[in-house]
Amino acid sequence: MSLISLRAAAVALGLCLLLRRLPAKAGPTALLAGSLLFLAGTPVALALHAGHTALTLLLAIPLRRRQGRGRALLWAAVLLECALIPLLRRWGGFSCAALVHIGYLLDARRGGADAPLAARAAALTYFPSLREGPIVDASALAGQLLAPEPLTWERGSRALLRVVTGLAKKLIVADRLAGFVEAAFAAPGACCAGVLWLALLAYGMQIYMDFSGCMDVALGLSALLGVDLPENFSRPYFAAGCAEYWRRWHITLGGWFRAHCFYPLAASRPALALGGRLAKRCGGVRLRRACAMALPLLATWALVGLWHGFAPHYLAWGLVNGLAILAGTALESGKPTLPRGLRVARTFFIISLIRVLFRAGSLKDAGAFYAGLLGFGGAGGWLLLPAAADIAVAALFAALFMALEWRAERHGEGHPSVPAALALCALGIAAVCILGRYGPGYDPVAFYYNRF
Amino acid sequence: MAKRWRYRFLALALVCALAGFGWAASYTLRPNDDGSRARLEDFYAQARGGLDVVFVGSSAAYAFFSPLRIYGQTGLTSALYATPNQTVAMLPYILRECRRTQPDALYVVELRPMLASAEDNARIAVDLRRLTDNMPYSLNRARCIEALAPAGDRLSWHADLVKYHDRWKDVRPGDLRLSWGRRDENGGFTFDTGVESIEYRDWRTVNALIPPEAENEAALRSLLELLRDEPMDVLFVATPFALSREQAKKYNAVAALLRVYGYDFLDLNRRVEEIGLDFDVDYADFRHVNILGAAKCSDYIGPILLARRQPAAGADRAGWDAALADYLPREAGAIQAAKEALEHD
Repeated sequence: MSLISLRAAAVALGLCLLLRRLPAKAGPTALLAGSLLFLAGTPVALALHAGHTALTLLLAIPLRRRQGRGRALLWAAVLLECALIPLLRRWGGFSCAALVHIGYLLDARRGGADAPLAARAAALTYFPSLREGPIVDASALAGQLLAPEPLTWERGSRALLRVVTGLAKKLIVADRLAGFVEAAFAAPGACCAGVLWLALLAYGMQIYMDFSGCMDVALGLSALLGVDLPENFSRPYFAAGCAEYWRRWHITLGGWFRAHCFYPLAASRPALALGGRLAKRCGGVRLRRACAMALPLLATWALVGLWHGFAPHYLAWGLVNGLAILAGTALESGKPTLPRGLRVARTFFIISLIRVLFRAGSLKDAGAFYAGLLGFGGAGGWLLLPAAADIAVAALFAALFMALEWRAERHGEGHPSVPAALALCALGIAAVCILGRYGPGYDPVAFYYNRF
Repeated sequence: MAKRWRYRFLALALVCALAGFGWAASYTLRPNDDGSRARLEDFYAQARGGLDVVFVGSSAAYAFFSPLRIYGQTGLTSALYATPNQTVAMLPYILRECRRTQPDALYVVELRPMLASAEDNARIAVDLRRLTDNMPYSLNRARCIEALAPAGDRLSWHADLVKYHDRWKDVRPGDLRLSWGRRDENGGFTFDTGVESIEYRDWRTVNALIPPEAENEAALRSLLELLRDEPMDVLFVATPFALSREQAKKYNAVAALLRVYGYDFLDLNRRVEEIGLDFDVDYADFRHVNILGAAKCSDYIGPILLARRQPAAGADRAGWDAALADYLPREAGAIQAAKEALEHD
């Protein structure tokens, strides 16, 4: 049950054809049926997700009736959703869906979530974004499902190009690097510093190509169905600071935690009081600002870390990211002293180092990896590197995608014409067919964010 | 409106270009590691209706019969449609496949697969790929896969690019293909210069029958039914090897079954003296002859085939003569190597 599967392609194609012939009001029902058909590849996941959606819809009824009241019920519902996260993660990595459902309940309490039932159910089970995200606002999505955009040649060719781009990122680059990264992180003590630095670089490229490729497939498939999902990436490796990086990476997760954790925490009386006391003791406007936001930010990042997994290394990863953002806020000046290129490189370096905590299996493993990076590890590991031809292909395509991002960064996003998009699709499909890692003989590498 | 049609035309053109690319890439990337591809490509490279004889079977066919030697001796043009570990169930699809381009040929079908046990058949099912991966795309190929390939992962059987796409690293300029078919310098014949003395038992006096494996018998019966409905000139043969008494009895049962359907069975195990096989000299292993034994078997079967089929007048004689002239020195070298191996042994 993956977005890169014949099932997903068949469901998307079937819906694409069906939605053009159905009246608009029947659209959400068809999308709901399509999503359930997609989930039916794994019956346990189907049962779990159908049950989860039914539960959320039921919980939303009293919350909507009490509009603005019913705080205890809301807390109970949110805690129940949080309790479901380990279960959702175990049976198919649907913890993104839990955040979507919590957002929906909060919206219901505010009096939103008033679309027809079929549209709400379809939004909560919408298969392109169900597993890995983006984390959508279910009420807004329900509105889109009721009035999808018509499938024009412009929309269709660009959506298809987006899907093909995602496939190329995932199957040509990310999966080519996955084996090396896995092996190096599994035995950091046996690898020399050079191999570990290469593994760190490869991991940075693997996770980005994997996750952004997944989002490209999800957004492309959804666009084919006439629904525009929110972007989840905005060229994060061109960010000039940690805070900017996190505004560009997994945007919808950051947005969700900002809206539902950081802002409420920052506006709470205890946080304001404590932040104020800390700020008084500090000199300088920047330091005071950092102090004022320190506690809510660290608390939010702790939750972000724990959302990825209830383990110390995820918590540490979240807290270190929070500290990096705070440090950036405290140290930043009105006019940067370093050129932007160097700041971008510095950010990539810092984020890559922090990411060791995210990728390692435990704090101990992360410690061993850091020690190895400093030269305190083994002396081998060069045999773990992929074959020269595979390195060349991965490097070539990674460079191509990064060059396209650099161009977009400088000149803004451009949209290719229909003939250009179609021709690029054909080229991309040919490239994926020959250079992609798929078929018998390969263990299919699940999307990285499937595990969360 | 005009723009919409332009886009439709462009999309259709790109889909066709992609299909053509996939087609050519698939043929180019197919494996070429055991001679099966060269052998079957040699068959497809022959002119339509240009073959007098087609040898069908497993390694017992391509190790025993040399098409170019037979041509030199009889003037009969022949090719091998043989892949390792063929099963009887594959035969109907193979004969249908061959008949598409060689409808009037004499088909010499080697029946050693009739001796396989059910376990053998299950074990060697994977070798079906050596057949289907070397067939051009056709409805018959698709039917063969649907009928015989293991359940699951059929996609990679039908579209072999799914399985072999990563071979791009091993492709050489000579592998590039836009169509399927290229002459093999040895006519698909695979010779071995090794020598192994094998223990041969003469079972000519054994006339008892043991039915072959039920699934093999059923497959042979369905093949014979097919031949009854769609007649073809077929000669069933068995090549000689160190068979057991039980296997000899199974061959007797096969001969009896074939007689019921009106077919001859040329069991060469009963003619080893006429062929002149020396079991201390002519075998590479207990199942296959070496180049010395293959020369004897080819020389023996040539006149038998000539008695059934006269060389077609329209064949590309000049091409065959050139191929033979190219082949003979290689064969002579292999025979010399086998003799030297025998002396050193």
